[in-house]
Amino acid sequence: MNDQMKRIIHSIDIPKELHQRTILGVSKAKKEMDSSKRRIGKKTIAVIALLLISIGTYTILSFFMNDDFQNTHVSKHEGIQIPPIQLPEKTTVTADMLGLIIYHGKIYTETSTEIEPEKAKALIGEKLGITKPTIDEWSMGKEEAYEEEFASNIGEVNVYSVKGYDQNFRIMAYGEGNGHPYAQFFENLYGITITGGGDLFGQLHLAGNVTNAFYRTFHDWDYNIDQYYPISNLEIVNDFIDELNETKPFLRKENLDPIVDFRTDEQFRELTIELADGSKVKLILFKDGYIYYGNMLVYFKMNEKPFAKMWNQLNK
Amino acid sequence: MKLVQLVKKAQKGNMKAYLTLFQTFEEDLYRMAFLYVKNEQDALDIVQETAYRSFKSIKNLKEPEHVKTWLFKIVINCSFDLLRKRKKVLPLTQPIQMDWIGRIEEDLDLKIAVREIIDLLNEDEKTVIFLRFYEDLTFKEISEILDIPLGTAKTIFYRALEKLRKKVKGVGVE
Repeated sequence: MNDQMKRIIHSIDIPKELHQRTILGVSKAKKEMDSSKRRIGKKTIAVIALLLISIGTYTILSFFMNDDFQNTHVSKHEGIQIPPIQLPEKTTVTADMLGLIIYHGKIYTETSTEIEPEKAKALIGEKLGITKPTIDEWSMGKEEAYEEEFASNIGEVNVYSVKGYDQNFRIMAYGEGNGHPYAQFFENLYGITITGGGDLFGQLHLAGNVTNAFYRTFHDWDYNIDQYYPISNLEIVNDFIDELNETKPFLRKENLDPIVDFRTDEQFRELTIELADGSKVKLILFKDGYIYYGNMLVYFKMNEKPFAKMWNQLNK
Repeated sequence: MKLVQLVKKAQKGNMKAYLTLFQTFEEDLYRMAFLYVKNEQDALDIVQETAYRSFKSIKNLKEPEHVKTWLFKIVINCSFDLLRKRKKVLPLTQPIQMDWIGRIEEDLDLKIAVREIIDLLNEDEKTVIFLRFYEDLTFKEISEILDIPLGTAKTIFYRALEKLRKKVKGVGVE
C-alpha cells in the first residue's frame, strides 16, 4: 500500500510555474529583510548578546554571567544586579545580532518596545550625538571598541533623548534614509539593579497610559505572522500593569528558565500594550505567571490570581 | 551541497542557497497543499507563502537537519490559514476539477483513488496519510509536525486507512 499510495499522490501534476512562485516568495522575504536592515542602517554583525528568546542558546548568557556572578549577585534584600555586558571573544553560530549604542559608558541595546517613526517625532528630545559605526565583526571582542562614546553597530544615526523618559534608561535613534524616516528605542538594561517589577515596568510608563492591547499566539509569534487579537477589557490590562510593579525578579539561568519549556500555543502569549505616546511595549507571558521583557537577563513572576485574570483575556 | 550547509548559508541571508534548498522540497510541498485546497492556483499560492514565511524565519531554525519537517509544518499552517480565510468554502464533497489529473487521466483506478483521498479524508487524515506514506515519516515525526501526541497521530492514521479501505475497493490500495 505504501508504494501504491506514493504513486497516487505523485500523480498530482506539478505546474510549470511552481519554481517561479517559490522565487517570488523568497524574493519578497529577502526584500523585506534587506529593507528592515536598511531602515536602521544596521550592519550585519554578530556582537555581544543573543536574543535570549532563542531558546537553548545560552552561549552568550554564559558570557554575561559567570559562576561567580550567578552565585553572588543575587540578594534577597538588595535585588538582582545585572552586570554590564561582557564581550564574547568571538562570534558563535548561536549568537544573534543585537543593535547597540555606547552612551555615557553604558551599553544601550535594542528593546522590545517599538514606535512608528511618525509618532516618534513628537518624542524627540535633546540631541545627544551621532552614532559611529565602529563596532563590527572585526572589532568584536575587543574592549577598546566599546569604550568610545557613541560607538555602535547601527551605522551613522542621530541619537536623541526621549521626552518623558529617563535617558539613563532609554534613548532613541531617529533619522531619515532615502526619504523613509525610522525610529528605534535603545535601553540600558545592563549594569542595573532590579529589586522588583517596578524597577523596570515603572520606567516604561505603562500606568495610566494604555490605549490599546493585543496578543499573539506562540505559533504566530514564532513564524513572524502579524496576526494580533485585540483585548477589549482594558480595565483588566490596567490591573495587570499595576500588578507588574509587584512582580518578583528572577535571574535567568540555564536550567531554571521557564522560557525554555513553555514554547507552545497553550503556554505562551505575546502581549502588546500600546501607550498614548504611540510606543508599543511587547511582553512575553507564560501561563504559570512568568513575564519577560526583551533580552533582559531577569524574568518576573506574578501572583497567580491577578495573572490568571490577564491570562484569560489572552485566550479568547 | 548538503542540506545542512544550505540551511546555514540561508540563515545568513543567502537567497541562492535557500532557493536551492527549497527547490528540493517544493514539489512535495505543492502536493501536500493540493491535497488540502484541491486546486492548482491555491496550492501555488500556498507554496509561495511557505517560501516567504520560511525564508523569513529560517534564522530561528535550531536544528538544520530537521528542515524538511519544519517546512512541512509551515506548509500545513499556510494551508490551514487559507482554508480558515475562506471558511472552507470548498466543501469536501465538491467535485474536483479534472484538468489537474493530467497524465493519469487514462488510469481510472488511480484517478478515483486520488479523488477518494481528497474527498473522503479530513485535513488531519490527509496530512497523516501524506506524511506517513509519501514522505515516509515516522509517527514520532508526524506527531511533532502536528503538535499532537504520538498516539493521536496513530489513531488518525488508522482511522484514515479504514476509511480508504472501506471506500476505495478494487483500486489496489489494500
